Amino acid sequence: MKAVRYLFGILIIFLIVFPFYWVIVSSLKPADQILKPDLFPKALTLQHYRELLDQTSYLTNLSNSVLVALGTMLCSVLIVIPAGYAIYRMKFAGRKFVSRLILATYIFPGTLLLVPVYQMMSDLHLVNSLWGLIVINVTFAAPFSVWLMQGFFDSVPVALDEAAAIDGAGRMRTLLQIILPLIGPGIATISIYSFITSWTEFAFSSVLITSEELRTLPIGLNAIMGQYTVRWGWTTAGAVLTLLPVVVFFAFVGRFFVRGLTAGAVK
Amino acid sequence: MKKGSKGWVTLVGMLAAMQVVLAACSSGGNNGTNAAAENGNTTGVNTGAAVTELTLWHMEEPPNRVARFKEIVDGFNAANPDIKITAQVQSWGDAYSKFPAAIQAGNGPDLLFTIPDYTTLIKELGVVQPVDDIIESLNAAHKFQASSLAPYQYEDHTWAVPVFGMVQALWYRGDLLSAAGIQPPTTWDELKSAAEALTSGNKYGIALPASKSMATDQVLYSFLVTAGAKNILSGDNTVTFDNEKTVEAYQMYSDLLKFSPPDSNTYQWGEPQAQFNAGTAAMAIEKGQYLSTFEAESGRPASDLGVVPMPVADGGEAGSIYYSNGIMVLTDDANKKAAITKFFEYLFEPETYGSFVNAEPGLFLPVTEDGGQADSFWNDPVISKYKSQVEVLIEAASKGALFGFTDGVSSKIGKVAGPNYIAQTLEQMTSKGLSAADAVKWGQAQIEAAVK
Amino acid sequence: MEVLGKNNVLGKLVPYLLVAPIVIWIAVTIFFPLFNVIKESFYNTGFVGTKGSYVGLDNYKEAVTSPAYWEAWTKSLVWVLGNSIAQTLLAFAIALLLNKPSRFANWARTWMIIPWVIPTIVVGIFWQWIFNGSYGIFNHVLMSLNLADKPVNLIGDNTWSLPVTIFINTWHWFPFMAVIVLAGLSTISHEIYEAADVDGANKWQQFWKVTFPSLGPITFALGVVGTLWSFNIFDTIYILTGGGPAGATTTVPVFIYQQAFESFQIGKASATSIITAFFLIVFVSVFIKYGTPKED
Repeated sequence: MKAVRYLFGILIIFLIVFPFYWVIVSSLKPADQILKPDLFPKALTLQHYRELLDQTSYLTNLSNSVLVALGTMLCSVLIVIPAGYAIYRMKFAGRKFVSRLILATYIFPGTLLLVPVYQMMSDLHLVNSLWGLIVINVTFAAPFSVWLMQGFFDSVPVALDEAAAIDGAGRMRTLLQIILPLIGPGIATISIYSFITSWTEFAFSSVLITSEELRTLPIGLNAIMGQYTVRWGWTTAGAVLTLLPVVVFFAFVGRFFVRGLTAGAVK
Repeated sequence: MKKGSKGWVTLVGMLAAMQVVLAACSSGGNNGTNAAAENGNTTGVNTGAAVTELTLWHMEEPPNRVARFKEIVDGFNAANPDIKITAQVQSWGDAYSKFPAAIQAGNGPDLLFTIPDYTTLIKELGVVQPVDDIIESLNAAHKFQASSLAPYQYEDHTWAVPVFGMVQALWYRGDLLSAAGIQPPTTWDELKSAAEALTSGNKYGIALPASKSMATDQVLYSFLVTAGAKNILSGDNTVTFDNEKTVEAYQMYSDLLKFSPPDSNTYQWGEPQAQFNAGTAAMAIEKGQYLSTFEAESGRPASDLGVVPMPVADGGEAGSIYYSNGIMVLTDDANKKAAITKFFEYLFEPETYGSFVNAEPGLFLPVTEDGGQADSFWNDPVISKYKSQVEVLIEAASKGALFGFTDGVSSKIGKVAGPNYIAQTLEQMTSKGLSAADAVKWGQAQIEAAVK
Repeated sequence: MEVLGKNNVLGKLVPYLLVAPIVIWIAVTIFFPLFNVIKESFYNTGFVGTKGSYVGLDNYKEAVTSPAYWEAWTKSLVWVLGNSIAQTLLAFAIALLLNKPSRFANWARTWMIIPWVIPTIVVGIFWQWIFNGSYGIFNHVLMSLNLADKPVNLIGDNTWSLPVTIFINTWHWFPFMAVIVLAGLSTISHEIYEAADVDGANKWQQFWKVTFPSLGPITFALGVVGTLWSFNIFDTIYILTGGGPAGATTTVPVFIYQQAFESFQIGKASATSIITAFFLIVFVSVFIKYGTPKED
C-alpha cells in the first residue's frame, strides 16, 4: 500500500514537473540541437532569450500584464468583499437571485461575447486601454471569488456582528473594523485568484488591444510564435519568459493562496 | 496558528501596498493611453501647423518585418512633417472578429493590409474606399503587374493598392536530390516518383500541410491550378468545384501524403519548412520565405536550396497560387486621403519600395515594373545570394492564379476561404476515408451552401 | 447564520448597496452584451459588423436541425465527462495523498498547483512540443522502448485527438481541483475517523462512509462551476487542434466560434449560443434542485 502511494506520488510529480523541465531545457539548447531528444543538453545557450529580449517588447508586455493583474486584483476585492458580506451575513429579499445571477456569468460561451463586449467597451471608451482588460477580467474573476468568500465569512462568529450592532456601530463600520481584519486570509486568497485569472486571459486581451505598447504577455507570446515559421527555440524561450514571472510571484504568495483556499473554500 | 496569522497581516499589507503603487502607475498608464487614442485624431499640434495623423494596421508579425515596416513609415514621417503615420502590427487571427468590430465601432485604422478574399468580406462593412485615382497615377509612374491588380478590380473600382505578391513554387534540397540521382521534377508523374524515391525510414520525399488551414488551402490550390481546375467559383458565384480535374488533384495530393511525414495533418505554414531545413523532407511547395533561414537552420550552403516552378499534370496548365497583398483605404476624410496618396507615392519610389518588400526577402515580391528592377530590391544581401531562385519566383508570379478570382471576381469567395473548404475537402479523404470523387462532391455541396 | 438588518429603511438598503457594484459590473459586461447576441439570433447577419435582416426563428430552426451542432454536442459531452472523471480522480487521489501534515505535503500542496497558474497558450506550447509528431520527446521515448516503430501523431489523430486534448486540459486544471478537495478534507474532524475506526471500518469503507459524504458541498460546487468551466473551454482546444482533424475535437464552443468567425454566420452562431445557454441553464437548475447537499 505504501509502495503504491509512493509510486503514485512519483508519477504525479513527474507528470507536473517534466513538461516544465523539458521546455526550459529545450529553450536553452542551441538552434541546431533543439530538435534532438537529448534529456540533458550537450551545450547551453541564452541565444534565444537574447534574441527575444532584443527583438520583441517583452518588458513592455510584462509590465502591462502586471498592471492589468494588479488592477483586476484591486477591483475584484473592492466589489467582492461587500457583496460577500451582504450575501453571506445579511438577510434580504433577492439574496438567492443575486447569488444565482453571479453564477450565471459562467453559463455563456465567452467566444460569442467577444464582439458585443468589444462594442460595449468601445462605447465606454475602454478599447485599447488597460482599463478595459481590467474590467473584463474582473467579470470573470469576481463570481468565483464571491463563492470562495463564503467560508471566510462563515468562520467569523455572528456574535461579533450582534455585539457591534448593540454598540450602535453601523453595518459598514462593522464590516470595516471588525470583520475585515478577520477575513484577511480570504482577501489574500481572492486577490491571488484574481491575479492569476487575469494573468492567463487571452481572448479578450487579444480583441480589446490594438497597439503594441499595450499588449499583455500571452498576446506577445502569440505574436512571437509567428505565422510562417516555426522556431521552437523562440517559442520555448517565449513560453518560459511568459511563465517565469507568475511562477516567481507564486513562489512568494502560493502558500497563502493554498492555505487560504483550504481554510475558506468550504464551511 | 498565531505565527500564521502574522503572515497574513504582512501579506495583506503587502498587497495593499502593491495596489497603491498600481493606482499611481495606472493613472500614469492611462495618460499614455489617452495620448495614444488622440493619435487617431487630426488635432496634433506641431508648431502651429495641423498634422494629419493616420493609423496603419498590418498583420506581418515576425519582428524583422515589423521593424522594416516601421522603418519605412518613420522615413515617410520624417520626410513629411505634416503627416504622422502610426504602424501597428495585428494578428491575422483577429482579422475576422476584432477588425470588423473595430471598424464598425469607429476604432478601425485608416489603412489596412489585405489579401483579395479578405477585401471581399471587409467591403461588406461599407467603409472600403475606391483607390482608382491613386492606382492610376501610380500605374503611370511605376506600372503594376496586371495579376497583382486584377483581384482588387471589380464593381467598376479598384478596392486596394497592391503592395507585394506571394507565389508558390517547388522547393527542393539540391544535396538530397543529387545524392539520389534525381532531377528536379517538372511534371506530376516526376514529382510523385521523386517523392517516392526520396522516402525511406524517417526521411520523407516531400512535406505537405494537411490540416484545416489556409496553408493547406494554398498548396492544394497550386495542385488545382496545375491540374487545370483553377476555376472553382465564377464571378456570378456558380460553383464549378466538382469536376474530373479537381478529383485528380485531390487524388494526387493524398497520394503524395504517403511520402510526407505522418503528422502532416497538423502542419500549417511553418512545419513543412522546418522539416525541409532539418533535411527530414527533401521537397516542399511554398512561397519565398524559405530563403532567409535556409543556411542557418539547415547548415547547408545556399546553393543547396533549389526551386523550380510548380510541376504540371498531364493535360494541365503551368501556374501556382499567387497572392497579391494590398492595402485598403478605410477613411473618406479628404486630408487623410491626400496624406495617403503621398504615402503611396513615397512607398512606390523604387529606392524605398525594394527595401519595403525585402522586409521578408523572397516572400514578398515586387508588383511594379520599376520595383522589380530596383537596386534596392536586388542589392539586399539575401536576395543577391539567392538571385537565381528569386528569378524563378518572379517568373512563377506571372503565371499565378487565385481561387475566386480566375473566372470573374466572386463576391462570396471569402465564405469559401474562411472555413477552409478546400482543405476540409482533403480532410474528408484523410480522416473520414472518403474517395477523392466523394470528397470533392462533399466540397462542392459545402461551397454551394456557403455562397448561397 | 445571518444577522437581521436594522429595522429602518436605510438598514434595509444596505445589503442592496453592498451587492450593487458586482451586480452592475456583471450586468454591464455580460448581460448587456448578451442582449446583442439575443437580438442577432433573430437576424441573418453574416460577417461581423454587417447588418442582416430579420428572419424570425429561422436561425433557431436551422440550429436545432443541424447535424453538425448535435455532433458538436456529443464531442462536448465526451469532453465534459472525460475532464470531470479524470480531474476528479486525480484531484481526490492527490488530495488524499497530501491530506496529512508533513513538511513535504505542505510544500507539495503549494507547488502542485503550478500548472494552473500558467497561461493556456503556454500549456499548449508545452504539450505540442512534447507530443510533436516528428520530434516530440514522447514519440522518441515510445520508439526507443520499441512501443512504436513510427512516430505517433496523437494531436492529429482521429481517435486520439480528443482524449489527448482532454488529458492536456486535465493537466492544466486538476491541481486547482485538488486544492479545493483538500480544502474539503481539512474540514473533516479527526473524531469522525476515530469513531469509524472504533466501529471497525476499513480505509475503503471510511472513504465512502465518512470522507465522501463530508465532501458533499465541495463536490457540489465543483460539479456546477467545474462543469460550466470545462464545457465553455475554447482556447485550449483551439490552440491545440483548431477543432480538427475533420471536426474530431469540435466541441460546442469551438463550433460556435467557427460558425461566427470562419463561416461568417453571426446570426446562426448567436442562435446556437442561446440554445446552448438554455441547455446549460437547465443543467444547472436540475443540478441545484437535486444535487444540493442537505445542510446539517
